[in-house]
Amino acid sequence: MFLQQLINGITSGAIYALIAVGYTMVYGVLRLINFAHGDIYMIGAMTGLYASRWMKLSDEPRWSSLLLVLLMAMIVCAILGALIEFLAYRPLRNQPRINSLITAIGISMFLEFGGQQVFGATPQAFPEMMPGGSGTAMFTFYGISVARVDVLILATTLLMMLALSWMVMKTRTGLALRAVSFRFDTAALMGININRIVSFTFVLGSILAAVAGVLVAIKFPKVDPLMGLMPGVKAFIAAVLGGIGNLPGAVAGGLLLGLVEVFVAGYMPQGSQYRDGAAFVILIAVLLVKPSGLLGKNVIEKV
Amino acid sequence: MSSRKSDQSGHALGSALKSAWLLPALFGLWWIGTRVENPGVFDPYYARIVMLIGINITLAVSLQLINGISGQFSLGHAGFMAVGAYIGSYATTTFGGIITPKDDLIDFANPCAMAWYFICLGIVVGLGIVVVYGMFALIRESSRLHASLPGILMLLVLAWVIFDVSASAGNPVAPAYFVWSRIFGLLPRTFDTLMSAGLPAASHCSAWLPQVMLKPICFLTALFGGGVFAAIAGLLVGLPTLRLRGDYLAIATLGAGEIIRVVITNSEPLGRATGLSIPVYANSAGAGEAAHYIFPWVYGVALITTLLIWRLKHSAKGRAIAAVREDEIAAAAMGIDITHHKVIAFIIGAFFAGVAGALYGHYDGYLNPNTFNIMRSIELVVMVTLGGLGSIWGAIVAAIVLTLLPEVLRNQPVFIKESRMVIYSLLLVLIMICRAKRPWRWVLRGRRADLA
Repeated sequence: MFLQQLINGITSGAIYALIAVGYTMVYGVLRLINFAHGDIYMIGAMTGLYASRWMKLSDEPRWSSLLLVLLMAMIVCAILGALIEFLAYRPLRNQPRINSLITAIGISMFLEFGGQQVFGATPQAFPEMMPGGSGTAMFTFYGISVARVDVLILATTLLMMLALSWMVMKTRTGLALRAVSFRFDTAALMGININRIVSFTFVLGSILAAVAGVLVAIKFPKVDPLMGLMPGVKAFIAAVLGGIGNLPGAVAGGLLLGLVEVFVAGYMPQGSQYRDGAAFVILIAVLLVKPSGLLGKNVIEKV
Repeated sequence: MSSRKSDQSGHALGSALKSAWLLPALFGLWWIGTRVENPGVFDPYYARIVMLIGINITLAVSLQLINGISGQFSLGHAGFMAVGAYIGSYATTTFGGIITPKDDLIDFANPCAMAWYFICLGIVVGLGIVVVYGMFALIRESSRLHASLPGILMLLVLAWVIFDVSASAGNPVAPAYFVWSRIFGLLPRTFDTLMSAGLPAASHCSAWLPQVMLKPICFLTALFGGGVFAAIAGLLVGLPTLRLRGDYLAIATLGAGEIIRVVITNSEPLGRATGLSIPVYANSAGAGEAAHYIFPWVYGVALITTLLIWRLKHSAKGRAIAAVREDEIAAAAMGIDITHHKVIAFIIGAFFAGVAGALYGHYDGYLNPNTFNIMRSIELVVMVTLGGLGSIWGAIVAAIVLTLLPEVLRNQPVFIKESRMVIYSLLLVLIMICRAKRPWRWVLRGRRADLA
């Protein structure tokens, strides 16, 4: 039972981590809480749904078609993310940050309500994308079974994280990204094209959110336009938990959040009802003890 | 101090206009509200909008105190509203029946009823002192005529509305009793309906005065109880979280609001997820009529909130709060207790949010935890930001405009009606982007402020 919960927790934590990375990167670069990020995750799942319907991929689940659907969701979300940054956030970059925050909220509402207009407000069933069935057990040990979709989620998340850390740590673009995140103005003086890097950040974050959206839709085959609201907020909490602006922190925060939620739901009396509250309780608890998050650095303010 | 002086001498006319230009708007709203008295002029739908505007004004102004004046970014205002709504409504549904509706007599054998009676009396006396003090402070602290003008005007408006509303009851009464009946005349009618007493509206003036007061006292207690509990929640949330700054504070208060909501969702006496019904309109014709009874309350609360927060902003305490907003370290160096002032602003804001919540609960008659979710908090933050951080009038204008906007869009042809929330959100983004270019600086004035 404990191991089963552990695996569930790690799976949902991996999803939180995928979304949280997008939050934390955007925050690191622009100091902006991108409230629309959860809705990009929703658009990712929706794109997966419509792509599979449009290409009739769901008739016969194949790995190649799953890959194709993932790719399409990634492309659509990458374009959407860059577009949002270009149209909504760039004109406000030199404005007080609260203005960008309100704009982000507006964009989030636009995607949600626009999604209700375009896709309809009722939840739609997501087709079976994995050959051999996503829910069937891949292997069992000590009496617990690990579903194939869980393995897929963990493997994909691991792959994406490795790719991301390679991108951020080893490439010149990644170096520029780190520089921008460290000091925005100084990076510009060093000849870094700030606009390009910011767009790149949004593209990266949106790609990860799209992957998370499709993976969640495979695991819980129901998508609706408001599905991004709660995961979005919780992923942001995960990012804050780990120390916002810190990539390993986002992953750690996501995993912690996933585990805490699952254990609260599993072991507390009537825990499943307090599941949503648990995230906020540990958020406040961690912030009180270490205001910069678990892995965040303490910034000393100079007078 | 010097900035205030230059403000007054430099733009005396401008600041007089600034503080006075919204009074006609408020006056107009009061006037519209009195039209609700005539059935047939206002249908329940419009009455509801007018009510929501009043409640949103209270909420936006109280949030302005936290976000704009004290500079702390709170995203959990809906949580405090929920506390007020649930506690206030719970008090009415549970204890409201202690004072029997038929003969207005309290059961003195019942210690619970006695306690209730004295709590009610204490609260009313306290409220009276606060209001009177606020009014006097308003005029006393204003050194110039144009500065005290809004206060005097508001007193006049208040008096006029009380007279207008209660005059419709049409009771010839003895002169000594006249003022009392004017002041409390509107209260029993309000509460008779709220408590489904079914008394004829005109009969209240013949009753013995304290008895007349009992029911409005009960309603006042519900409002104040909601406010006080929300303030306690604000203290509990504020003491630990106000150490955080900027985005961290925003997300922590958002979390606190959500925790409140989750606790309510799981609380048996508060109706869990199915919600809490407040049987206040059992005898009334419906929401339209209910609006007409509760209307003076809603706008009275909005007025008192605006007045008190406006005076607070310009008092010594308000300047200390603003100093903390501008630069915490400098303020601390000047001997200002930072935590104290932050928490004070937070508690007062939470208190009025609670009162507004209690009003909302009694007006709507049904409470659901999902009414008070993150979107509600965000809506309020949008009002405050759009109106201009730190500007009370801006918050009022934005509350009116943003409450009306979806409804105006709703009354359009089908295509617009269907996608009204899409248009609303697009307009929000466009306004924020256009505001960056500041073509309408003169409409939406306010402080340019950062989160941190």
